[in-house]
Amino acid sequence: MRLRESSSREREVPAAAGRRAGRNADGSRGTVAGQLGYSWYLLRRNPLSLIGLGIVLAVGLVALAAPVVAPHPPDAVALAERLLPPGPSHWFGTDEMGRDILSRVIWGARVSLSAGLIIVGIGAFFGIAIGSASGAIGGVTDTLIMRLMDVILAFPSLVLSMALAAALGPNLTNAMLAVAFVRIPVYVRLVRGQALEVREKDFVRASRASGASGTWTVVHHIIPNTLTPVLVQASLDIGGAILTASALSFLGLGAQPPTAEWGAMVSSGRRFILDQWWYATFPGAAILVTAIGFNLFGDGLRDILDPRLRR
Amino acid sequence: MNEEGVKVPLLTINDLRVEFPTYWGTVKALDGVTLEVNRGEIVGLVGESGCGKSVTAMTVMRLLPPGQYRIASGSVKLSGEELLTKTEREMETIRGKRLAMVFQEPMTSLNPTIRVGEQIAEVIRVHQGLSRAEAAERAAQLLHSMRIPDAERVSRQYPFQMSGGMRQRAMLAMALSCGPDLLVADEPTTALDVTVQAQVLRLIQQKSAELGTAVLFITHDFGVVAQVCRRVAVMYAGTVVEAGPVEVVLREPLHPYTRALLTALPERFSRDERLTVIPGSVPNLLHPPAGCRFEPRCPHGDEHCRASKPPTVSRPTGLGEHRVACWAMDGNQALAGAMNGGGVGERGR
Repeated sequence: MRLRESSSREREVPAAAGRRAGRNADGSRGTVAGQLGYSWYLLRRNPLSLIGLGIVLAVGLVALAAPVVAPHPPDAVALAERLLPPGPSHWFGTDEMGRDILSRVIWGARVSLSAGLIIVGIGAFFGIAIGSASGAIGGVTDTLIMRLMDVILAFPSLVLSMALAAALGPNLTNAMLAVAFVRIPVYVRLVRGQALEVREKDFVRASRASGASGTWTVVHHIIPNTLTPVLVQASLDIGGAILTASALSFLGLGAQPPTAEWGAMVSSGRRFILDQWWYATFPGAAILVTAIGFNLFGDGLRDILDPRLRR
Repeated sequence: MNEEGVKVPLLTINDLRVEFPTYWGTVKALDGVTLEVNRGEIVGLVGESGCGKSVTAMTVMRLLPPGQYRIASGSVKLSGEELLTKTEREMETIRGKRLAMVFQEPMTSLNPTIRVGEQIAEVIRVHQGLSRAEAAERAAQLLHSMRIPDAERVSRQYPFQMSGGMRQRAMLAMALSCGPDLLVADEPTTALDVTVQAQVLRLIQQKSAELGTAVLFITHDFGVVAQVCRRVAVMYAGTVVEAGPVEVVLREPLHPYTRALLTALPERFSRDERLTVIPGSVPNLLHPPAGCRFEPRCPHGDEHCRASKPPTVSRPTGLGEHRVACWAMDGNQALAGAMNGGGVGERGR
């Protein structure tokens, strides 16, 4: 219990966590450090989540350091070096414009990672806002909101995001909005379920009994107590969001050439797949590895944050 | 306090009827509750589970779930001001400032994700408009005044780091932070162990005297009532059956239910005696008895009791008014005679 509650807050506001850790250097000394230590212990016990964490960190670092790590600029055209197989000068080979695929995959990490984070961020933000309001208000409003969410969920998510992206116009921003929109109901359901449980707790009644307004209670008491599952869901979702965003780009509804985006690269490499296997394979492998990494990491995070599911 | 303030009781509940419409019918949870709490006074509200003590408390606080209950009649007045017609916004300015509440479970009545000091400061900020830092300082002072050692440090702790007794003191600090006129305490010591219970009771008494805060003390424990309350009201199945000064009610109970309760206290029995019980069980509030709600279990009930509700009869005592709702007190001599002659606990008929 203790671990779950406070670590969710730490992760939520890293700056505040640092301040807390500092202020905690009194009688209750070591609780925050102790929790971090315990989290590390749980993570270490499960090698798969450790691998997940490794992949997430590696992809993140590569994305941050792209200008330094990439051997070539991602869009440097060299027509003399078209479609070269992997070799010492181009580890992942080159594409039909002679661009270095390794560099494009590295720069693509920026696009994909930020797409994943933004999509999940938007989804979780609106999910928390709508879900907690729905759960706290209840009654007809709640029913209406939840039925609307059911309608959205009833569509196959990829088909719905394709339709939305196509309607909004094919570019990466619209693709992200479309994917995020389709993710919102998942978070709404999650948060509403938690909110329904939390709002019956005595501390919510106590807050009301001491004169707090409904909105204050939702923001200060209900939302913080629903964040743990949201965090787990979000970490598990990033992989899927990257996958879907890439899928939209692959279908021509997301990032447009010449943007170095993994899905778009796979799409243009598709034409060469029989003779120049490396063109589509490396960006595809990057998607695969990143998605697996986030999923494994999400599983590990759930084990840490939710003791009830701990194996 | 002006002259009128002395005369008007702080809290007046008059003939309060609260109903809960359900699929199976209407639950008549409160059936004419009448109760008064004077300024600075600790009044006990006693009764078994489900008799309407908490519904009474939640009605006074106006915290019953909206849309799920109906107030059929009655009034709840705080210093002569009707609470039942106040809007939610008006209630928000009253709750915490003039009316406060502590709950039974100290384990769940503090938010696990917020530091205790911050939770107390929240109330102060809502009502007194102090800055965050001032409120935090005030919160630590309040914890200190609740006899919490090392209050500075405790105010920065999370609820899980505190014991049940400490949490209940923190709850008290929160409830009393704005010096309310009335504290509604819903079984505040039931979840605590006996030694801590005694400390918390003493604390409530001291704070009540110090701040002039009246307390409506809900409990099922006559021992606690005897220890802290000046007056007591006994509830049964949604009605107040007997009310009066603690000494009078506990020494010379007049209502058969109060008598039966007092004779059933386990403390009165030696090791190998069988405990007496009240025969029967609490009436179904969907279809309560038409007359006296205690009649089916009363050893003396007769046709009269079954047919109509008993009126409340008042008699003066040296310590204050003593009110009983029983036909036997309303001139029904045969009944009165039977009650004083026959033993309590066995059915006379």
